[in-house]
Order: sequence, then structure tokens, then C-alpha cells
Amino acid sequence: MNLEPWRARSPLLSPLDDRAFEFLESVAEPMRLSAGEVLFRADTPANRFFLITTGTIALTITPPSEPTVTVQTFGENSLIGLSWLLPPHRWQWTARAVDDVTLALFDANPVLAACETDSDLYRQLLTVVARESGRRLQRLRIRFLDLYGKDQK
Amino acid sequence: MATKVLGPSGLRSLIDLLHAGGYTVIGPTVADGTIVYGSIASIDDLPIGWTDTQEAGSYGIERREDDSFFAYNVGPRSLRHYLFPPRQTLLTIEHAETGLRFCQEPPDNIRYAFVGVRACELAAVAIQDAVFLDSPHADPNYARAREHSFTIGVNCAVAGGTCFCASMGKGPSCTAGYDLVVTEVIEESHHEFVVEAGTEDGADLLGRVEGRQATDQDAGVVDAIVKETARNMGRAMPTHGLRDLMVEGFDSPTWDSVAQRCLSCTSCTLVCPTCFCSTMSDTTDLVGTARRERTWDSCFSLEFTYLHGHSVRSSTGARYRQWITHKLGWWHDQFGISGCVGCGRCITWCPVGIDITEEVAKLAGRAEAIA
Amino acid sequence: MMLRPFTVKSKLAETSDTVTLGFAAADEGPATRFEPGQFMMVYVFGVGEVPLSISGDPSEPEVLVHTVRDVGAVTGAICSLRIGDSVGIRGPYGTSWPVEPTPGRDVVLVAGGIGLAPLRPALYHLLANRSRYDSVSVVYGSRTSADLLYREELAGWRSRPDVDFNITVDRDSPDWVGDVGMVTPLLDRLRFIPSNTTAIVCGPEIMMRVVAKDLIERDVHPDDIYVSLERNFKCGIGFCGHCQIGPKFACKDGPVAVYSSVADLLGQEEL
Repeated sequence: MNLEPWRARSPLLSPLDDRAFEFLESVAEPMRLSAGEVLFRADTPANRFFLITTGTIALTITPPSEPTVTVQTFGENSLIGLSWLLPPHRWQWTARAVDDVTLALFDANPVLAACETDSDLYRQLLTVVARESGRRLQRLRIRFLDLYGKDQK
Repeated sequence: MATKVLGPSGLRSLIDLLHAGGYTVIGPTVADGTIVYGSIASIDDLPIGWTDTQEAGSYGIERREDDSFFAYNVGPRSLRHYLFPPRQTLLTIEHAETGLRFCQEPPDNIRYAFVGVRACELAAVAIQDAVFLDSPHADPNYARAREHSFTIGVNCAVAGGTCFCASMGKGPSCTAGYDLVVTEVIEESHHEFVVEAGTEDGADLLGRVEGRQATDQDAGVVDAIVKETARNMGRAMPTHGLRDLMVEGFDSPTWDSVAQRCLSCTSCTLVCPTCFCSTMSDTTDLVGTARRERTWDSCFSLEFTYLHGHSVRSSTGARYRQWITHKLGWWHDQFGISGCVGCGRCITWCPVGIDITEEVAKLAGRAEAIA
Repeated sequence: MMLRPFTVKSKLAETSDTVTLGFAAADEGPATRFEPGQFMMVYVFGVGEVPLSISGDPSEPEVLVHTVRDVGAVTGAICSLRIGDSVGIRGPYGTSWPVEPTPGRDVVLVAGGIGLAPLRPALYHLLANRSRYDSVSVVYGSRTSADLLYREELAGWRSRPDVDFNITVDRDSPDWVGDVGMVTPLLDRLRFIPSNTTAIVCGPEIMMRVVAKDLIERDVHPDDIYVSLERNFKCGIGFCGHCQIGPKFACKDGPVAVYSSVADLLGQEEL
């Protein structure tokens, strides 16, 4: 799948060198979801990851006897799925399509297999996941401040 | 410009002529154990034969052995007391049936003549001019008071214990901002005032009083007096790289050390001749008229930086830091000059004797130790 | 310093604690022409005076529009005003957003919470002159969907094909269908050329700092990022001293300031 249109702006693709980028291109397959469809469910094996090419995906959790709550949404260029790289390789949240979504799907099995023998590829993907995790943590901390709350300006 | 040498009677005539010209004459006078600006009916109201003693956190007046007129230094009041009064009504607001009606308070028609104004004070007025006049919203009350005032400066013949104008380059001799400037020469055989005009108005007034033409010898005497005063300055400010020292010393432990002693009493900001901060308050009476007053405010008060239920500068250290880094640092960025003239008032009138020159020296010492 | 009498002409509740008021001059004076980003000082008889950013359309200066959140005595009194009530207003004061049309330039607006109010005049101006910019994108972050301002207009702006208007909330709620999270990740999907972009950011100071850093990471130049300074304004014209942040008087050197000129000042504790 041609990923060139997303390369410059995607947190997944932009840090990769040509070799790693081309490898991911060779693994990527296009995928479509309709609004409301589930991309993956919490507590199931995390053996894929995704790049959103159009539309919005929500990470959700469902409390008992209450509507499903979205904790965060991701739009075009976002990397979806961080749990595939490291044990226990299980999804933490349920991902649903908010609207009609197109994605690039990456099967984690060949990627992890390649990482076994290609430490440079592994380092690059580990860096991507670590940086994205760090960015999400920073943003979460800011949200935690409740900046738009009445007394917190 | 014209220079004349007057005797005490000539000086008396000068002040009488100012009164006759419709001026409200303000000058140093003895009141409440201080030598402080007040109304001067005649030369007899000047602190003749008095002097002051000033040190960090202490002030006193005492008798001299001669009848000198100007042998003391600045008191707690500065000219901003008159040009930018501590309390001023700006507007009255009427709540009528038809809605609110706003009425600008007419400016008072006082024309001030200031007598006995020191070089540091003249420098302070120039600094306040930059604040209040060099703005698209120039303050009309200040502008009016300045435009109609007449100023008689004095070259200091004695230096006070807390004075440091020489190190700030603002004194002890008056160089600008006066209509007339006086140097008092008191010797066993004679008591004279060398008076030089700085403006046409000054020259005109000087022409109307009895006196002799000044000679080169008089000029030499004046020069010697101010040089001697400069040598006797009680204190000195380390001015080298002061603006950057202030701005870069933001995280210095000096501020915490000052905070241990500072009472946040606001005295320094009230006696400072260049502080310009103010606040506005509206008071409403029972018949539905409100009066908007502008009063002096101080960066040492907690409410000063109130924002959304909290204060930006909540600690005493931060408030002291704001005052001094503004005065000696940011002022350069805002107005192109230092906000300090070296008058020493903040040192004298600090109830715990915090000394701005000493704190700056500490800050410089720490910066040097790190470098 | 002179106040002019104004009368409340319109009032609309935006949220539980925020209203939008329209004021018309009660005297014969001229309309209050203003630049997007400027503010007025608004006085309520017997209560006091506060600075309020103008949130109306700069091409309609006959009515002054302010969106006010009830956070204190004076803003509370303003939120309680009724149509026909009389207030005093002076201004406009302060600097403005850089919305002079620059053909071929991308514009990104980022608003957080009540920060949308001072941005609205800029948005009106951008939309009225839409052809004279390249892309126009907006990201608006709100605490919850119940805190969103200008709901009817939001729908209109979002349906425009020539503006990429994104909304995100910090906390999801059953009635909300849309993005959840901070404003910064939404920047990933906007189409702008960083080196060719003017960014206009208004919200709580921490949010503006985070957004500015994020934009700089994306290669938007710090000289092309504009933020809004908020401090205690008493006089509004640079005399009273209350609003100083280092060398800046927030009221006259701001409220709008180039990020590069204030980056070192924001976030300094007790400055």
C-alpha cells in the first residue's frame, strides 16, 4: 500500500528511515470501517496496528449500566495501537469508528518477526511507540489540569 | 543663561514674586519631625538652620550651627505628591432615570511653584514625564500640572547618609528640568545664593530681583561645592550591567533573603519619586452618585496581581523582586532609562532598613561567584 | 479614561455561567470601531469595572458584543444585567490579532474554553475575506459539550466547505458525538504549510504555551504564533502598572502578543 501521502505528517511514519518505511509499506493493507464499527476490543490479543488515513477512531470504555465513554479520539495521520509491540500484547481499550474511517492496517506478526533479526528496525519502531506514548502522557497530564474549569485558568 | 548672586533678601523676593504671580509655592518645611515638602508662605517657612540625619531605617532632624536654608536632603515626600496626587477624583457618575451619566472631574487650577528641588527629584520628574506624557493616552491631570509649574532647583551642598545619586548619574548638581537653580554658599563672612536660570521664565523672574552679577569665581565655588558633595555620598549603587543583572537574577536566593526581612509594608513604593502604580475605586453615595478615584497603589500588596481568585505574585520575595527588577531592570526596556535616581528614600524609610544598594551588591556578588 | 453610557440591547445565555451581551451606545457618539483581539473596560454602577475582550463582528461596530463568564463580583453583575440596563464602557484598547489578509497564507486558530470569545472577531474577519487567505483552520477545545459557546454559529461554521473547523472536548458525555482530547493532537489532521502559517492561539495560559510548543515542533515559526496575555488590568492604558509581565504591560503591549516576544515570560513563577 502506498503510504507516501501520509509520510510527512504521521507520528508513525515520519521518524522512519527509507528502509523501515518501505518495509511497513510492504506490510500495510487498506481497511475500511463504517461509523460505529469496532476496530478492536479491550482485553483481546493486540496483533495489529493502524494508521488512520481518513475519519476518526475513538478509544472507549463501557461502564456497567451507563453509555460507552470515549476517553480520546484520533483522526487522520494518527497511529492507532501501541500494545502490539510489547508484552502482554493485549488491547487496553476498545477502538470504535466515530464516522466512516479508512485505515492502513499493519499485521504485527511479520513486523515482530522482522524485528527478531533486524535490531535497527526494532529500535526505530520502539522509538515511535515510546515517543507517541510520551506525547499522549503529556497531553493527558494537561487534560488532568482541567484548564477550562472555572477556577483553573 | 543669566546667573546672579542673591542674598537672603533676594531669595525672599523670589518667593514673594512667585506668590504674586499666582503660584502655590511648595518647598521644604519642618513638619512632624521631618523636613518635608509643604506650603511655603514666605522664605521664613524654609527649614532655616535645620538639617537631617538619614541612615537605613532611620531619619531625624537637628539644629545646625549656622542659618543655612538648604543644608539637608530629601524628605519622605516627592514632587509626585503634587503632580500625581495620592488620591485624585477622575470622574463622577450619576445614576439617573435615563441611564448613567459620566462627568469628567475638572482639573484643579493650581499652578505650583516648587522651591528647593534636588537634582534627584528633577530626574524623577523627567522619568515620570516619560510614563505619563509619552503615551497616546497622556494623563491630562499630570500634563496640566506639569505645564503650569515653575521649578527652583537646588544643588546639594551636603550629602545624606542614604544618598547615592552620584553613582546613578543623577546628581548632586541639577543639569536639566529647572527654571532656576540655586547653590547656597555659606561662609563666615557672607551667606549667598548663586542662582542660574534654566529657562526664559526663570531668567525673567531672576531679572526682577536684587543681586549682583555672578563671576567666574562664583562658578568655581559652585563647582567645588557639588564636587565635595559627590565625594561625600553615603552610598553607591553598583551600576555596571545593572539591567541584565536584574533580569538574569530572577532565580537568585537574594529574593528569599530579602523576604525574611521585608514586611511588604509598601513604604518604599510610597516614598519612591518614580513609582507610578495606581488603582481605581468607585465609591457610591446614597443619592446615586459614584465617584471614581485614582489612588497610589503598590506592587507590594497581595491584591496588586489578583487574577481569577489568586495573586500572581503571592510571596513577599516575588513582590520585592518585582519592585527592584522593574525599577532597575525592566524600566530600561519600557522607558529607555533606569527607574532609580539614587535619592535613597527607600533605604531611609524602610522600617527594617533594607538597602537597595546592598541588595544589588549581593546580587552582583552572587552572580560573580557563579560566573 | 472617560466612560460612555451604553445600554444592554441583547442577551443570550451561552452556558450555565456564560452569557453574550450586546451593548449599544446611549449617547450620540460614534460607533466603537475596533480591531479583532482588542478589549473594552466595562463598568457596572456601584460594583466596578473589568476588562472584557470584544467578541462581536468588527464590521458591525454599532453594537458592542461581549461574552462574559461569571467568575467574580463584576463579571457576576454583568452576567446578571437585563435588557435595557445601563453600563459605562471605555476603549477599545490593546493590540489585535494579525488578520490583515495575506494571500497565499494559511491561518490556524486554536481556542480553548472562553478563549473562543476573543477569537470570534478574528474568525468573522477571516470568513468575510475568505478568498484572501489560503487555508483557514480552527481547533476549539472545550471542557465538555455543555460548555461550548456559540452553538448555532458553530454548526454553521462546521458546515462551511472553506473552513476546517474542529471541536474537541476534555470529557465525553452521552450527548457528545465528536472528538475527545486536547486540542494539540487535532493539529495532526489540519492541512497547513507550517512555514507559511500564521497561528492565533487564545485560551488559558498553560494551554497556549503547550499549543505554541507543539506548533513550533511542527515548524511553525515562533514569530508567526500569536497568543493573548491575561493579567489584572485596572486602567487598560499602561499607567496603573498592575498588568506588568516582566517588561510588558499586558494591556498595551498586549493582549495580543507574538509568542516569540513573550515565550520567556510565560510560565515564570510569580513574574
